[in-house]
Amino acid sequence: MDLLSDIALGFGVAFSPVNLLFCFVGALLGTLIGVLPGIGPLGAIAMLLPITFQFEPVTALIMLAGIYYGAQYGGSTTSILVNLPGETSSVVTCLDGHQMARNGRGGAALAIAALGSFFAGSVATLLVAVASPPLARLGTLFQAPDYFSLMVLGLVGAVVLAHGSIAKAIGMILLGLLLGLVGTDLNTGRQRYTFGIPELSDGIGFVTLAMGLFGVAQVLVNLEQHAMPRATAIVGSLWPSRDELRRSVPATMRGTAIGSLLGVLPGGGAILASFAAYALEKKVSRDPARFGRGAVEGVAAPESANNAGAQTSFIPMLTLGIPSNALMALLVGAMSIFGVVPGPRIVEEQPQLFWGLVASMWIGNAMLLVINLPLIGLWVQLLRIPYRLLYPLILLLCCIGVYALNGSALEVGLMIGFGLLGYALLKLGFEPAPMLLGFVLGPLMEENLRRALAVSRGDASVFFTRPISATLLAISLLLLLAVLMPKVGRIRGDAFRE
Amino acid sequence: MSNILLRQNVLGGLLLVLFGVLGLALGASLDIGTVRRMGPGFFPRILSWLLVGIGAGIALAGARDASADRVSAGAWRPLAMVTIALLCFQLLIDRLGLVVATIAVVGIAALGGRDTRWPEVAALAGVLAAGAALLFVKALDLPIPLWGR
Repeated sequence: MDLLSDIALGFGVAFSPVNLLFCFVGALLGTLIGVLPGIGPLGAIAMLLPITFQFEPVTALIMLAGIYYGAQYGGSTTSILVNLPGETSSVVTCLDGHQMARNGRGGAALAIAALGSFFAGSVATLLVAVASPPLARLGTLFQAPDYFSLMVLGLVGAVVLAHGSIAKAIGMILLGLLLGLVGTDLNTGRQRYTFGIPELSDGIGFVTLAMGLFGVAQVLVNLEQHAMPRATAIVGSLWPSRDELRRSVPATMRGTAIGSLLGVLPGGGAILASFAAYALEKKVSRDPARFGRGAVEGVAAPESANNAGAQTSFIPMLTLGIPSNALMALLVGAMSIFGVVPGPRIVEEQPQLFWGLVASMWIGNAMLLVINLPLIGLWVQLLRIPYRLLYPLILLLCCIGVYALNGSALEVGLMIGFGLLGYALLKLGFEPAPMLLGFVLGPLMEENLRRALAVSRGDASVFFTRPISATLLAISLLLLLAVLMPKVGRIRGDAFRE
Repeated sequence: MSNILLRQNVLGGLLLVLFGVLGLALGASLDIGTVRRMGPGFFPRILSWLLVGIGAGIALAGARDASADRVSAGAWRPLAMVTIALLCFQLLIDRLGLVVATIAVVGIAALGGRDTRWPEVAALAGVLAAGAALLFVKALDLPIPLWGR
């Protein structure tokens, strides 16, 4: 019955008027930004961070989580109505969702997506509540070598499951790890790569890097592309037909299951979940030819899966302190601004924060349902805002966010530098998201490597003799070998091509 | 030669090599220490060498693959104008404050866009300056100077 009292505690925290208000504001702003083309959840959270700077940590986290689901859901709306995925995890929703909209079933597609997401979100939130405490207890058994190996597994997972070239993803992670080391060495107090700039002695600001890579760089790339495609959206009736409901219920169940599972994996999360769920639906369908022509299962399954994956990827982040994807890395960075360090002890020591966040996940999902369906007309209007009015706003929010954190104009300059770097990387076909993961893990990896080797008196075999560490490394190795085998590599390629 | 350099992977690989070399060169004075007592230079060196290695690998593979994607032509105008706009924010925020910096960012960034309509830009600058001042300075009480320090 512990679980019930914990959940009750969580709802007590989440239902306080302030938290409820900011959960709502977060979900609303997230949807608002997610609907706008060219800004994904990463950019949305980074840009809206400054709003939360003065809040209590739990309120700030609840709002940021709300922004995350909101942005995710907003991306689905644009996918369905105008065939423009606001972010990668809704790319597959475009395939059948937009076809449904062209067949005049746009409203039904939106309703199915919203209901499926809500169902998946509820199940996954319950999973977070049930699975986190035991996993946190397991986490307390972890020592330095185990943590190091866990991070290796996390990074390998991120590489294997990222789309695009594996070598390039590894390159991005290494660059991120190296950037993460800029600043004062914790052990010796030596300055590393700081060029005598006082602002750098605490390391590169997390917000600075994120805004440069995902705010400024994205604007630069978008401005180069020619006019974004627009289509007038026909929403139609919001009520799904009996046949559509009958088809989407099992698809939602399957999507929820596969999404919850994939969300927990290192490197997993919403993007992979939606791709895998779509592929599965096509496999189990009696008539695969319907897909791509407005099959309702092709909306229900990936939409439930990406929401389930979005929730369950909180599990490893909160309980082990290891973010499994760039978005979770962003949240870890945000938490560090508020002095919250996620890890095995967070459940025990900060139950208010942990359970409050879990409860707010469910409330946030319920709010999304309320925000999205009745207000759909408003979101469609927002889609008509031209980019020439949006990008100055995005640039301004980036500047204000970076400046407000430490009141340092120099960090705005650093952000410009990272913006130009991000632009160059995008032009060269790199995906900068893994860099953020490396950036957050860099100092942690170094510290655990140092501690592991100090305790073992410089004997590197400690990584292979401790059972937890050995298992984690073995899994990493298997993953790497598997992806290098031509056959599996081809399947991976196919999965992302869909 | 210049042809090969314009392939995405060749240039991208070389960029990673450059970062690795910078990591080694700028970190040359950092003490490596021993395996048992890692110095501040231990982990950075490992990462830098790995970067050099993977970057070189990507560049070589790119040089051998004639069908590889080329770097698409960039547009200098948005790049330059956005950079200048952001630099103006950096220079103006402490001296003249948020309102002036906002107007500068919006106005200069607009020079980088296509089909810019100036009355619209003026209205946007005004609305954003007022909105940012009200939301971030008045409502959220963030430490941002309104009119300079």
